[in-house]
This record gives sequence, structure tokens and C-alpha cells, in this order.
Amino acid sequence: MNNKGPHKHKPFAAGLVSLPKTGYSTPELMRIMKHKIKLINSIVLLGLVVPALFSGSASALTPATCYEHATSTKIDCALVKQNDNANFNPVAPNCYDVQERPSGAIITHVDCATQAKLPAAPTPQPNTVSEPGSVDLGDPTGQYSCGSGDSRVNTTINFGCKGKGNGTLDLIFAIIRFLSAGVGIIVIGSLVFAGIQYTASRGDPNASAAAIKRIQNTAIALLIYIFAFAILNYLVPAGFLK
Amino acid sequence: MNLQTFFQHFAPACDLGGGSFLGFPHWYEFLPGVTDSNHVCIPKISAIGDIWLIVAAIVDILLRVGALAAVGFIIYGGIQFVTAQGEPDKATQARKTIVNALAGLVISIAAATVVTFVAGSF
Repeated sequence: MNNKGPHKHKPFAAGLVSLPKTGYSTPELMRIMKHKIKLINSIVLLGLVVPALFSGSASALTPATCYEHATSTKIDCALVKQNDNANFNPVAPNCYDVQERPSGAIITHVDCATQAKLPAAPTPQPNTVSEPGSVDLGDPTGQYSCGSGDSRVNTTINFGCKGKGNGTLDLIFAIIRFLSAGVGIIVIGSLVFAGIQYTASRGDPNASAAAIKRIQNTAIALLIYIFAFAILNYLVPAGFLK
Repeated sequence: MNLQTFFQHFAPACDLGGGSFLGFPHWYEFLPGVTDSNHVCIPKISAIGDIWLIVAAIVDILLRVGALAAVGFIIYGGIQFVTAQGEPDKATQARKTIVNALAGLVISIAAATVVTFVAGSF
């Protein structure tokens, strides 16, 4: 600590402490800085100690070793079960049975890798949360997914999602693409029906007027769709509507 | 996806077949066939967009219905002509029937042709 001004402390406190620019005399500023640096030191100390505690416990439970369960005759191998599915016990998923174990013997340190194999090993259930941090909504057994990451939604029906980006937007654009593909078909269907109406009019002016009205309305609907799609195509970034 | 793909026949993995009614196409004519666990050929709907293949088949059926209706109304107009017995009003009515029947047929076929052509050019 020196008293040449607060800017000297900036490299240390950068990003952590916002220094008051004016309104403080130098001793006052020094007092504030000392207080804040104490606070920072305690935070840094905490940040060093807590991971050290965790890393200490993690290093004690390396995949090769595990510890006896406190109340049962099983060995808690919670930390090694991922590596060895053949030894997996369906009754107590986190524990291995210890075979040929001497009665009354206290085993404090068991090597899970050398345990006797158990006969039945269950097949692992299909993982519903495959991506870390993702929340699967919708049907967990659905094989099609809209969006990725946190907003991913699984669906049983193939909506034609791209499986990228936000799930809701992906689904909306998939539905827009689906409806766009059907516009031409619907227009043809409507015109063909109008043609049948016209055929069946038998020279009746009212009936043929109804058929012509249907053709007009179909043309208007097609125009509305074309303009709506053009505006949407202009607003939305490329690739979403294709 | 454009309209041309709708009207293209898929190469079926198995023969869907099915009975015939006045030579009309089936609703599943554009759907691919798959063999299920009972070794029966069934139409396969894999995506939500396959609904339009069914709608396209229905439009195809409508076109044939329109052609049949046009033929029927032309015959009807002809009978009207025959039974007009020289009366100008009845003859005019009969001519209108035949003209409207032909116009309706032209509208149906032209709609299908033009929209398919325009959609296919995109």
C-alpha cells in the first residue's frame, strides 16, 4: 500500500471494486480501499479454500476405490458406477454387493475394480436428458426435437424442425414451412371444386356466379398468402423459412 | 419442397395395392409403403408435411370427379338439346349447360396445370 493515489491499485482491484472518482480526501480513500481489499482478500481466501476441500474429497474417492456403506452390507460406489456397468446392482443403484465377504469383517477400503461380478446387470434406461443443462419439455420419449440446449422440446411427431436454436421459434418456423407447403395444394383443390361447381351449374346464372365467386376468393387468398410470406421472408433472417 | 414433389410417385418399398372404385386413385397414392410387423404393406406417414401428400391425392380424386361430372353434364345438355323440339328457350338452356360443363372442366384442368407449373418453376 502506498499513498500515490487510487490508480495504483487498479490492476489488483480491476473489475472488482469501482473506485469513487471525486469527493474523497486521500486518507479517507485509503481507508475505504483498505476495507475493500480486506473484503476481497476474504473472498479470495474462501475461493481458494472451498475448491481445495472439494478437490481433497474428490481425490480420496478416485474411480478405483470406494468405501463401505454405513448401514448395509453393500459398498457405496456412487463415484465409480459410471465406469463399470457389469457390477451395477439394480436393488441399490449406488451400491455394489460384496461377495464372499467374511462375516463381521470390516472393510474400510474396497477396490471396486476387483469386485466379483454380479449376475444381473440392468440395461441402462434411455437417457431423457442427454445434453447437460438442457430441460426436455414435451414428450420425453419423442425422437424428434425442436431447438437445442435449454429450450429443446422433444416431439413424437416430426414437425420438420431443424433442431437448432430456440425451441419455440424452431417449432413456429417448422409450422410456417408446413403450412406454406400446403398453400398450393389447397388453392388447386379450391379451383378444382369451383370448376366442378361451374360444370354443375347447368346454365343457371346464380350457380355459375357462385363458382366465379369461389375462384375470386381463392385468388384473393393466394395474394394474401404471397404478400404475408414476402413480408415474413423480409423480416426473418435467411434460412428459417427454407 | 415444391408441388412437383407432391405429384411425383415415390418408389414404393412394397406394393400398397388396394381395391379400385371407378378407377379413382387412392388417398395414399403418393405415400410410400412400408412392411409392418405382420408383413402387411401399409402407407407410411413420417412427417407432418406428409398430410399434404394425402391432400394432393384428394385433389387428384376431385379432378377425376370433375372430369366425370363434365362428361355427365355434356350428355345431359345433349339430351336437353334433343328434347328442345325447336323451342329457342330450351335450346339456349341446353347450349348453356354444355358450355358451362366444358368451362368447368377447363377451369379444373387449367388450375391444376397452371399452379403446378408455376409452383414447379420456383
